[in-house]
Amino acid sequence: MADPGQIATSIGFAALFLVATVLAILAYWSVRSMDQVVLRARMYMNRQRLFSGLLAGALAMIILTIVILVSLASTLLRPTGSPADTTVQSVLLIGFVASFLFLAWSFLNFYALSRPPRETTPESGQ
Amino acid sequence: MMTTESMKIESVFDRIFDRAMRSQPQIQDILLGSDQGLVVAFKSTVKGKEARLAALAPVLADAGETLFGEVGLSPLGEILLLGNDGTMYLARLKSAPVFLLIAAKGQVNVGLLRMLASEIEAEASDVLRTLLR
Repeated sequence: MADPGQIATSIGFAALFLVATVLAILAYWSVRSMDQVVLRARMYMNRQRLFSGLLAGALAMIILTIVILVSLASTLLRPTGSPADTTVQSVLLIGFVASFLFLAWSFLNFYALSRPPRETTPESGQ
Repeated sequence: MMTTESMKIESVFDRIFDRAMRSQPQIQDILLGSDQGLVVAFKSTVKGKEARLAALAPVLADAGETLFGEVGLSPLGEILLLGNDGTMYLARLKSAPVFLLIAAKGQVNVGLLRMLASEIEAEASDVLRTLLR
C-alpha cells in the first residue's frame, strides 16, 4: 500500500491532467461548434486571448523540453546503481507540473476565444 | 419582475425600430449590439442573423478606428458601407458602449438614413439609460 503522500501526489497529478484534458476538449468543441462568422469576429476581438494561449502553450513546451532533457541527462550521467538525486527529482516534478499548468492555461485561453470579450481592447488594431 | 422589465424594454426597442422601418421601407435590419459583440436589440425582415451582425459590428468599428488612426484622423464617428444593392450604417452610441447598425436595401438616401440613425440613437440612448440606471 502506497503512503498517503504518494496517493495525494497521484491524485493531484490525475486532477491536473483531467483539468487540462477537459479544457482541451472544451476549447476544441466550443470553437468548432460556433458559427463561423461569429467565431471570426470573436477571434479578432479576443486576439489578446489568442496571444496569451499561444504564449502559454509555448512556455509549456519549453518547460517540458527542459524537464525531459534534464531527466535524460541526470539518468545518463548518474553512476550505475547509485540512487537518484532527490533535489533533481523535485525540480523535475515541479517543472512537469508547471508545464501542465501552462498547458491548462493555454487551453483556457483558447476556450475563451469563443466567448464574448470581457473588455474591449483600447489599443485598436494592436 | 425581471422578465416583465426586459419584455417592456424589448417592446420599446421594437416600437422605435418599427417606426424607423416604416418611415424608410428600404431598411431591412436595425441592430443595437454591445461592445462585446452581443445583441442588445434587433429588428429585421429576415430572422436569425442578429448574432453575426452583433459580433461583426465591433470588429468593423475597430477596423475603421484603426484605419482612421493610421492616417491621423481619429476618433472615428460613423461608418457607411455603400454597395450596388444597398447601404449599411454603423455608429457607436455616445451614451452607452453600444453600436447601432442599420442596413438598407436598394437605393437609399444616405442623408435620410443618417437622420433616422440619429433619431434611433437618441431614443435608444434614453431607453438604455433607463435600463442601466
